[in-house]
Amino acid sequence: MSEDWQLTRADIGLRCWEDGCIAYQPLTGETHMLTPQAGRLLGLLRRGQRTTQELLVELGEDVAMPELAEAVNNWLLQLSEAHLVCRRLS
Amino acid sequence: MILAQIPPSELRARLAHGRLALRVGPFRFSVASPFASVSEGMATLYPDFELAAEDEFIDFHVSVAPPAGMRRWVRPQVNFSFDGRVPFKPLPASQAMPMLEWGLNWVITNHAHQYLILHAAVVERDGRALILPAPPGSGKSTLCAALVNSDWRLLSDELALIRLTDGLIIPISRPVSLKNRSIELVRALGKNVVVGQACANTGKGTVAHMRPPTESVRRMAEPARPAWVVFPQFIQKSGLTCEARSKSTALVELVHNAFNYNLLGLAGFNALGDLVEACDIHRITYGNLEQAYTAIDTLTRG
Repeated sequence: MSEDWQLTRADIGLRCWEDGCIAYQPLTGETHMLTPQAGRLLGLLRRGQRTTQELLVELGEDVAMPELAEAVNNWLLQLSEAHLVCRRLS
Repeated sequence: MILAQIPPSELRARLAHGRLALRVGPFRFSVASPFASVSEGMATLYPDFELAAEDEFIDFHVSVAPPAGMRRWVRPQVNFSFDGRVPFKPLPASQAMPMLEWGLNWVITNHAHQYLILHAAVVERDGRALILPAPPGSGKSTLCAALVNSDWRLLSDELALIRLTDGLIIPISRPVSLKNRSIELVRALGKNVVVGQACANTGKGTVAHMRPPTESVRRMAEPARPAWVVFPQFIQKSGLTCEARSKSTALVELVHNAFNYNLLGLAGFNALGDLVEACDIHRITYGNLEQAYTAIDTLTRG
């Protein structure tokens, strides 16, 4: 069983700059400040659902950091706590 | 026809009978009041404003009038009403004119949701708007008054109206609100500066309003494109500091300065995002107006 991730809503707002990203969740009306990397991850999911592995590969092309897998899991956790993304089991 | 062309006696009569209707930026206000202080205040602060035509649609009907009952005579009070509703507690009658100004702000921020509304002063030069968002006490209005008495055009002292359809800032060049020490500072800006009657012992201390420059009122139909956001902070005896702000941090700060961001939802987020994208953003602290003017001039000519 693979674990897919997707946005909780298609119309989540996202603006990114070098120093960070801001996301808007229309369902809760909350505005969230994200790191550039977490914003990049959210940006990938705005293009369509992805598995954790796919996210890791695509982020790895842009984000060079040790223990990226652990970081991706943390970002996904933060984004899901903010109701921006959710798991989809298939 | 502009308000200054109405003789004082007719102005009083029009106000007493609710027959004074003004064009104020994108809105049409009908104002009613039996108070002489309101009639005098309107003559002092709004002389250049156009009157609305008889058959023009009026967006907001407001009045400042005494409440019914004994309070007409015993320690007289004033109520602000909007379309027949009374949204606030009454104030002492001596505060009728400031109450009208505060009430107009309330009416706009609570109803004009075709705009994203920021708590900010906005001025314009060469078609480009400078937004000065700041909480009360930051010196925003004093700085705004100084700028519009130099080479900037007043778009608003309190409310930045950002049109959702194109991101342009729509002028609403109403009187500039001043309080306490800033009243004398602004009076000293020049001979052409007109400041209305000061009103003491309000919830904000002593308040007065500066008449908007004639040129700003005359050009109130000309919107401007946002180009700069400067968060000002007056600190007595401080030197000048100026620092660039990151766009993501600025967006969050602007969320806190917006009156109707939550109500507008995604449209509000997108409007703020576009604004931040389009602007250079700085924070300045200053100890006197000259420092602030120099900093702003450098930032906006650079």
